Formats: sequence, C-alpha cells, structure tokens
Amino acid sequence: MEKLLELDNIHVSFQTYGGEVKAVRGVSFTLDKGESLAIVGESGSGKSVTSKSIMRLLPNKIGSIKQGSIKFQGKDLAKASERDMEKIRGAEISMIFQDPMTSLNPTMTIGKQIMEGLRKHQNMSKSEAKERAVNLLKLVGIPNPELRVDEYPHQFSGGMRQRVVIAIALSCNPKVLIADEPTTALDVTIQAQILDLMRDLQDKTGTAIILITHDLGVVANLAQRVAVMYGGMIVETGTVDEIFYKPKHPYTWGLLASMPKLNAESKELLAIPGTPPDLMNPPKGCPFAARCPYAMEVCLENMPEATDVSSSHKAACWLLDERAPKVEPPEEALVGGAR
Amino acid sequence: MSMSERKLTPDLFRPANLDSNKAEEISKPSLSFWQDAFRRLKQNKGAMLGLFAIVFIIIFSLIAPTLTKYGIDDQELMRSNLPPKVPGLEKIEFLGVNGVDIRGVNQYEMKSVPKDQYFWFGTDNLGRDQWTRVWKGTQISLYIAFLASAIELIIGVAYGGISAFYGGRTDDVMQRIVEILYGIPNLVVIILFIIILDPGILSITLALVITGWIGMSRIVRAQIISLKNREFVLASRTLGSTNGRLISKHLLPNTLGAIIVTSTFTIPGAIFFESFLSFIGLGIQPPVASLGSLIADGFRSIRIYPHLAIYPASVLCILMISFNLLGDGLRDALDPKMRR
Amino acid sequence: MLRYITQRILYMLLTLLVIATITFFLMKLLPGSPFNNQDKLTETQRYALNEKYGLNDPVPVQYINYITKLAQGDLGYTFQFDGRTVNSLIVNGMGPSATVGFEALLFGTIVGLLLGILAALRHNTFLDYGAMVIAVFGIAIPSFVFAGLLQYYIGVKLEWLPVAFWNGPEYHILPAFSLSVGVIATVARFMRTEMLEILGTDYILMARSKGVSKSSVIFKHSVRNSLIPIVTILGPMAIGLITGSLVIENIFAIPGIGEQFVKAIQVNDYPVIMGTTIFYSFLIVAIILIVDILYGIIDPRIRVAGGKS
Repeated sequence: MEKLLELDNIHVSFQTYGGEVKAVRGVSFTLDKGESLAIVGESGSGKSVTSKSIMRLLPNKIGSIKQGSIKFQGKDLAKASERDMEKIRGAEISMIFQDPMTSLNPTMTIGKQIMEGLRKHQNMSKSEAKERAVNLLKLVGIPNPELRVDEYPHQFSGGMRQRVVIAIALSCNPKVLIADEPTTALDVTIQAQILDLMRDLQDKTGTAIILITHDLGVVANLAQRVAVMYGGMIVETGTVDEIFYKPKHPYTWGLLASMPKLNAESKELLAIPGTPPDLMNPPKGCPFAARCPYAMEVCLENMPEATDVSSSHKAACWLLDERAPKVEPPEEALVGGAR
Repeated sequence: MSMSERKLTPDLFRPANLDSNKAEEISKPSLSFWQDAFRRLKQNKGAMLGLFAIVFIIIFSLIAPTLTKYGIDDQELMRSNLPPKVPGLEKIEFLGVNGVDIRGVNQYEMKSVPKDQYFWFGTDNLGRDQWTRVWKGTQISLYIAFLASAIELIIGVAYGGISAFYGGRTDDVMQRIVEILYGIPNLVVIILFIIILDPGILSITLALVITGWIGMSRIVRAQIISLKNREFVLASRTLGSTNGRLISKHLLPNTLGAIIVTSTFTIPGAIFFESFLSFIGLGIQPPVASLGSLIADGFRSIRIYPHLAIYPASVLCILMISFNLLGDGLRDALDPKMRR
Repeated sequence: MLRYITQRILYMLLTLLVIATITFFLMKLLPGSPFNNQDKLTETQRYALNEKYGLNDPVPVQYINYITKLAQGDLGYTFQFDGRTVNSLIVNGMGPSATVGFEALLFGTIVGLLLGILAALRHNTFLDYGAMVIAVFGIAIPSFVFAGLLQYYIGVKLEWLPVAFWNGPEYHILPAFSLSVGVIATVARFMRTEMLEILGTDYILMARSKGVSKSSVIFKHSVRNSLIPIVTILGPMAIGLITGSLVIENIFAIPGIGEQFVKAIQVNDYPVIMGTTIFYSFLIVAIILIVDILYGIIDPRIRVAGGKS
C-alpha cells in the first residue's frame, strides 16, 4: 500500500500561564491511501492536538510543533508555509469537528459555506459551485437540497448539520479526512446514521479517514487500524482485530474493560482508577505507570519502547520485555472471549 | 539493544509499590472562589493601580483640606485668581508652581501677598483657596457617588431579587413597570428632578437613584433566574431548604460577583452625572463645590487662569479611570468566563 | 415579526405618555405662573396672558390639552422670545446638533472598529494594549473635560483650530472629535471582545480547515459576524452622544438644541425644557426601537425565529 501520510516523532507544546504543556510527545504513525485509522484515547491524551497539528490549525502563538515531521505525499507539512497549507487544507486534507452546532457560521447560508472551498480550490464559477453544493447535499442525504442550500445553519437539526459539515469536508475530494469525534455530540440514533454515511462515502470516494474518538464502539464500526493514545503518546497500535482480541497494553485492557458489553456476566463496568498524567511535568517513565495495576519499578523511571507484537501490531509496555513476569489480560478486557 | 536498556537489571522488573491513593491525589491546593478571584485581581496591574489610586484619593481628600488654614468659603478679594505656588517646588520653573501666571507676571508679588502665604493649587476669582476647594469637592463628589450607588444597590437587589425569586405574576407585573421606566432616558428624568427639587447634595443623589436602580435590578434578576433553575439549587430545594436558606446560601453568594462588578461601574457613572449636572448649572450650588462645579467654573476662565480647571479635571479623570480599571479587573476576576 | 414591532411601538408610545405626564405634572408642581415675575404686567394683562395660554383652566383640562397638542407635535411657546414656538427653536437647532452628532458617530465608529479589529488580531501585543488604554481613557474621561482641554490646548494655545462658534467646516473638528472619543472607546472595546470570541469559535476553525485565505476568514467570517451585535450598542451610544452634545455645544458655542436646552435650564424657560425633554425622549426611544428592529433584520438567527412566531 502507498503511504499517504507519515507522522514521525511529532512533539507539540502549548505555552500557558502555568508553563509549557507537552500535549503530544513523540507520536509516529502512517496512513495508507483509502485506509481508515482510529486514534483512541481519553480526553487530554493528545489525540485532537495531533489531528490539529496535521492541519496546522493549532492556536497561534500558544501551540506549536516542537519537533518531528508530517510527510504528506512527500511534503513536510510541519515546515510548510501558511500559503501552502491554505492550498492543502480542504483540497487535500479536510476535517470534521466534534460539535456540528458550533462548527458552521451562523450568519452564512449553508450553500455559501460549501461553495467557499470549491471556489477557492477548484476555481468554479458561482453557478457551478452552487450546482455542486446541491449535489453534495443530496449525496450526504439532505432532502430538498435545492431549497435547503439557501438556508442558514440554525434551520438544520444537529444530525443534518453534521451531514452538511461532512459535505463541506468532502466537497473537493480530499485524500485524507480527519474526523474529530464526529458523533460525540449527537444522539445515539443519529450517531449510527452519520457513521453509516461516512463508511458509505469512503467506499464511494476512497478517501483515507483518521477517526479521532474515545468511543470504542465507533472504532469497531469504521476503522481498519487503531492507535491507542495515552499521555501524549501512542501506547499501542494494531489492526482492529488485534486491538480488540489480542490487546497487549494494560491501558488498552482498561479501555476494553470499561466498555459496556451485552453478553458479559458481570454487570459492573470497570473504571481505570486515577487521573491522566500532568503534561506540564510528564512522568519520566511510562505515562500509564501511576495507574497501572501491573506497574514495575522499571516503568516508573524508564520509557518503554514500541515493541513489535506482529508485523502490524506494536505496543509500548515493559510487560513485553522478556525479563518481565508474564501477565494475562483480565477477563473483562476480552471482547469475544477468545484468548 | 539500546544503551538505556542495557543498564536495566532484572530486579527492576519487580512489581512497584504504588500507593493507590496517590493516583487520586490532587497536586495543587484548592482555592475557594473568592481566594481565586482575589489572586486573579492581584495579578491585574491596572486594577491594582486603580484600587490604590481610589484609596489614596479617598484618604487624601479627607486629610488634604486640613493641611492648609483656609476654609472652603474663606473669601479675600485681595488675593483673587492667584496661580499655584508650592514651597520648595517653586524653584523648579517648568513645574509652573512658582506663583507666575501664564503671561509671566508673578501675581503674588503684584498683589503683595505675604511671603509666607502659599496657595498650592492657587485661588479662584473670590480669593478662595483652590486646594481646599478641590479636595472638599472631591469629598462631595465621592460622597454623592457612594451614597447613590449604595441606595441603588439596595433597591436594585431587592427589586430584582423579589421579581426573579417569586417569578410568575409578580415577576410579570414588576417587569412591565421596569420596561416602561427603562425606556425613559435617565438624562431627562435626572434633569427634571433637579429642576423640581432644587440642586443640592440630596436632590442630586435622589435624581441619580431614581433611574440608577433599574440597571442593577435587571442584572440581579437575570442572575437569579439563571441560578434558580440550576441543579445545585434544585438539589438544595429537594433536600427541604427553606426560601431563606436558598436565598442566603445559594442565590445571593452566587450573585454577589455580578453585584460587586455592577456597583464598581455605577460609582464612576454617578461621579460623571454629578459633574455633568454641575457643569450645565444643575449641580452643587456655591459656596459648596464638587469636582464638576469646579471644572465648570474653571472652564469659564480657562484662557487666563488654566489652573482653576486643570486640577479638579485631573482628579476627576484619575478617579474615573481608576474606577473603570478596577471594575474591569473585578469583572475579569469574578467572571472567569469573561477572561480573555 | 410584525406582531413584535407593533408591540414595541405600543410600548414606546406608552413610555412617551408616561414621560409627558411626569414632565407635565412636575412642571405644574413648580410654584407660580410663568408670568408672575414680569412686574410690568397689570392684573388684567396677566389674566389675559394666562387665558391665552390656557393657564386658567383646571389642571386636568390643561393636561388633556397639553397631551392633545403634543400628539399633534405642538410643543408650545417659549418664554424667552415673543411668540416663538418651541418647535421652531428645535428645528433651528437641529441642523448643527445633527451635524456634529453624525460626524462624531461616523468618525468614532470607523476609528473604533479599526482599533477594535486590530487589537483583536494582534491580541496580547503592544497594539492591543495601546488600543485598550485608549479605550479605558475614552470611556472614563467625560467628554466635557476632553472638550475643554482640546479647546484650551489646540484652540487657545496652539491656535490651530477655531476656539468656538459655528462658521464653517473647520469649526466642526474640535467638537465632533471631543464627542467621538466616547464612541471610539465603546466601539473599539466591544469590537475587540466580539472579534476575540468569534476568532475562538469552531466555525472559524472550520473555515480555516477549508483552506479559506486568512483575509477571507477575517473579513467574511469574523468581522461580518462581529458587526451584527455592534448594532445593539447604537442605542446607548446615541444616548451618550445626546448627553455629550448638551455640554459640548455649550463649550464650543454651537447653536444647537443642546445649547438652547442648557440656556433654558439656566433661565427657567419651562416650555423649552419640557419640549426638549420630550423631544430627546422621543429621539432616544425611537433610536432604540429602530436598532432593535434592525438587529432582527440583519441577524438571520433572529430574523427567522421572529418570522415563525
């Protein structure tokens, strides 16, 4: 498979009143053409920041990429000029945000907001762009697109707005679509519709998707590969099957154990005790060590390196070291009962 | 194998002794809302500067008139319209406090004022000591402003609070009244009232209060209505709290921030209106003076005796700016959402 | 929307009626008749005058007459000049007052908008701090103090511009500028806050993620949306301008309504005070109404919400 996007050792920091927050600390992953990758983790794990740094949409002056490269079709986006980025945003890589209620400009018609990108990137005339906007609205399943194209965002429901946002994101046939918690703010029934739509559109257009989420249910629905983030780092990556059926990192176990299951005998959901690390003074060793039930002394002082489990499966955990005691994942973390 | 890994000894691979409580520990000491607000206020240099200037002017306006032997209405036409002269500083020419007027004539020598008499801010056309008048005027301006704001606060909080707390029909009637009153320009009402009541400290205060309380009542009402439906108030209500307890423990403390901020802005507003009224001839009547009446008198002769307007105008400007800076600082400190 | 406007106009009329009533009865509370001071008048002459102006009627009748006349736009006669109506005084003063007010509003809004936009775009830089210092000074320092200082330094000392009076364009600069300071400060501050809030919204991020150019993001999305709520401060600003004009016209001897009003206060010309008061109230109430309706028209969120109800 052809590598479309390649992140190598990305570090992102924010300057705040209290000091420097190291939100992302050495993230590397690749995305192939037409693939869908899910980045999973709890709030503050750095997943949203990672996605915003790909788009170079970190808040000016406060947030910056400190280190590392983001290669997109051979070009390093981390060093690209703002003007070059304007050509890439929307045309090559586009983004869907979490809350459709706030991500559309309330004083601009839906049509104009879709047309903006088309006019900029594809040099369309007004009428061409409008025609395309109507087609896009039809594509994402909005009834009466000819009429609704001239309406304002507040005339749309939440689910409909997210469809519009998807239409905007896909308007210029981007190669990569970054979806930052696209369903979190929606009702459960609407969530399924939006996920179906995204999968359907991916089949039609062949766009690669980076799905940012904390919801493992969404991951199982849409993604082929998964990267689990914790404390600004990727702690485990693998295919969906590998992450769900053969997880290696205790944090992934915790995530899976805290997921509700219908067939489980124990009715209790397991929480991971403790809170995520303070990224202003990140721990020297494994970020998860302080909450990890299997923590060893080595974990506190030494950063575990990513270890290959299979050709597609990597985890960064000292338990994978041959000197470590053998530990089996807890019952609750087993999704299909397969061991 | 990397360098770091080679140094790892097998004994490091023993389970670590982790105190499970430690994971839940909160590293920073918790601050109460008011402590946190005060900390934020202290960080705001403008607000602190404003606070110090206000305190300084208040204290100084009380002390300063006692520093000279002249009363507020000690007239002496022999020494009228003297420019400022300050002992010590009179030797530094560019400060302009050496008793020489703008045409270069030493008025103190010309009017043969005794050598040991100094008028720090000069004298007015009746020979009254401007220093005493400016600081007494500051006292009166501040007195009116604080009194008016205090009365506005009491009426506004009571009206807004009752209207919001009881809601329903009470609120409806009370708000219709406010709506009509709110439409009346306060300038108009204030001027009419002063004309009827004859200018004076009390009538000015009353005229300011008559329209001033509406702003406060609207803010208090809006705050209480939004608080009333919040979960913590509902929770307290379901636990059987009395109305008195709800008001004193939940509603008022959470409205206090908005009340304080509003008050900080009504004070300079009152100072402005008082000086404005004095300026158009509806304010404090002689021999008593306020900053506004002093400025108005000063402007009448600003071409020949600029000192008469400059000093009261400076005090007024410093007071206004200080209250605004403090108000901005308080708003930022008490309403973190507004913080940018 | 139509129902809303009708309701608002009714409220406005009610407010004006309350103001007129208060004004009327307050004036009745003042002791004596306006002609008592004129010693030269004989008893019969005074009676005739009172009769002519309807002052011998019982108060309720006078009130009804007053309100009826008011409804027809008749504000009565001034005591200062023989036979001149308050209406004619207001009409005469309207020209200079409206001119200065409009110049101040236009200049102040443009400068304030630029200052506010620049401050927001250069948030937390020197330019931002500078603009906010100007804003605090502009809001805090009363316009009459500012006008006096300008008049003294630029008019008297430097002699760059005429000190007072109303004889040509150069006479407009000092009064209009003094009056505009408050507008500049209010607009700059409001615009800055509004812009900063909008620049932080998701839809700005969304617009940027579409690859829209920086200038487009700033003007088409941020400035446009920040301008909408600016309309809401037009009402308070108009009140500020009217308040300011009372003293500014007095300081610069501009023959406007404000100057006449202050003069009338000083010589107790009650019909002029009453007439101008009601005129000002009408102006302010009408401006607030127009602003509210305008806001409904330019903001699509309110436009439709209002249309459905």
